[in-house]
Amino acid sequence: MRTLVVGFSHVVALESALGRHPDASIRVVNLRHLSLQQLREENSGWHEPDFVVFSPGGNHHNVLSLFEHDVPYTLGAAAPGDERRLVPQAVFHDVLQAALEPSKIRLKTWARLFEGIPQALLASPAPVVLSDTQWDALIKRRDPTLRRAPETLRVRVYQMQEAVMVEMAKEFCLRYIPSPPETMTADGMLDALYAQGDPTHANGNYGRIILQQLRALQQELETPP
Amino acid sequence: MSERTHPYVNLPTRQFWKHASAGADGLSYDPLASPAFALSPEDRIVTAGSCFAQHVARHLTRNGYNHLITEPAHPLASAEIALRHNYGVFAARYGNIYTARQLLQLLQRAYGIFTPAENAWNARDATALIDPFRPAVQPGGYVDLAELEQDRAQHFEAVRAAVEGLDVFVFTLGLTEAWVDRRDGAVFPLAPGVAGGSYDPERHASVNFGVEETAADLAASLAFIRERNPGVRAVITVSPVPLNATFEDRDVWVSTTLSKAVLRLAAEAVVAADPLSLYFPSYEIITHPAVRGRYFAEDARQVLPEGVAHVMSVFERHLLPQRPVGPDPAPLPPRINVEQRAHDLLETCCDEEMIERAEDGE
Repeated sequence: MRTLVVGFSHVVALESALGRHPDASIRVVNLRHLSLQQLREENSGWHEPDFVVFSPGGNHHNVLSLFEHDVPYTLGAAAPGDERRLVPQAVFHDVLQAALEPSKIRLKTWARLFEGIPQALLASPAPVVLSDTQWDALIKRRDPTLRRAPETLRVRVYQMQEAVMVEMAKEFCLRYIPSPPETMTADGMLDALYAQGDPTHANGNYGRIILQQLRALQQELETPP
Repeated sequence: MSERTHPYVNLPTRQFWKHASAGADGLSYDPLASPAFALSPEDRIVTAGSCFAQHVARHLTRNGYNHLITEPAHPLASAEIALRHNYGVFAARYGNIYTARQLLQLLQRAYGIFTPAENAWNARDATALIDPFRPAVQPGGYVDLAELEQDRAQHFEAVRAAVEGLDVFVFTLGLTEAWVDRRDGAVFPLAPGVAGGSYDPERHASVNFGVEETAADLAASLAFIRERNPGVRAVITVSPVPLNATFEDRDVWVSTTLSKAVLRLAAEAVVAADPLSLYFPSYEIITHPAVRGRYFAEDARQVLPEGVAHVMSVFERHLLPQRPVGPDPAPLPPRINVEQRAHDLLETCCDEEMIERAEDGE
């Protein structure tokens, strides 16, 4: 059983895990470095895997909620006295759907490209908690006007993005691989143990757990119904 | 031979069918003679009413008039998404207001004077809640009661801002028939069960407002607004769009003619008693016999863009003689693109982090 994982920045966590714990049954292709055409031209057979997992980009939740908006907003009822503007979730759903449209187009293309092969969509990791030091180093020194958005908002936006991704997976008949619950804090953020140290990405520890999930799925696919 | 004399001698030509300005096809028909007032480009205009009011609102917005919008979409939403969720259609997201009673109750609700017993309806597929008093305003509805109530509070704030900030109120009377809650008389824009909720004959009743009720509700609405914003002028119109359905036991067109007659009489009564109001003949322009129905779409109900353009050309000629200069003076708040800044910054951060990791030999 050969599993091919295709994606962009979020697959780096898997590459990192594979670097430490090689697994010949799983190959990760970061499209920033290798195109699917180049993969085909390798003649390695990896362009025709037994199982393919897509990570088409899922950073929109961070774009929409890592920083406080100029018109601070809330999804769901705000706390009493909170002056945030309510954005109804039906409206925000459409905002996310529009933001994820390029990912959807990409996913559609890939799904066609690997037609006939079992396919899955991989969730992006939960929102990263940045320490004050990280915030100053990564954000403040680049743009001191940006402020942190509340973590409750970030988690809600992430969950809503997940919901839109699940809709996309259903539309293209893909399995959905959610972010592993053990990598999250009780509040729904990415546990520091699994954070890369930048504002959005998970690390090799996270990648290792995803690889375990992929192996479990491989076994499931190999087991006759 | 003595000169003929009778009361019609020397009356203006527009008062005679034979000489009236409609022409052979009615396409240049202009029934407005000397309106009581005109609007200036600076006047902040609030529009409300039935479906036809949306045409008026859209025209004012597109042509740069000061169409006051007090409940714009959050800048995260694109113009397309905002429109889908009815932001910017009218001043606030109240949706269509079909009857004068509905208008009066909206004002009372926004100021906390009236709180209907009915608070929320289940959407038809039961996956969300919808607001019984603006059931079509948000596709997808609300996730829970807290969200609905908070959005309603935001909406009422916007209604109050519109009431207190407007100079001219353009209201299109649409219907006389409505559905009410028997407990407190709350008027629903759509019958329970159509877009949500469920019809319960024990709780819901059909009403058909007459001339006096409609005129009283409209006059009370204008008085309510002027108590908070003295001097507001009003332009009252009657929608030319026939009823979609009638609950009266008779043909829908017969109900339509009665309804339009009632609305026209009510409008006349209000305007006659109010020097700050005028009647604008949208209904007459669209339905003039010389037009021979050409302003109606194939369904003989919806008004075609040509009809709307004709109405608005007369509206502009008489009521908006000065064209606005420059960009729309009533824009949505500036679209501050924090998302783009965030996107760019995250891209930079991530690339730099990857470079650092590569240098660390990871």
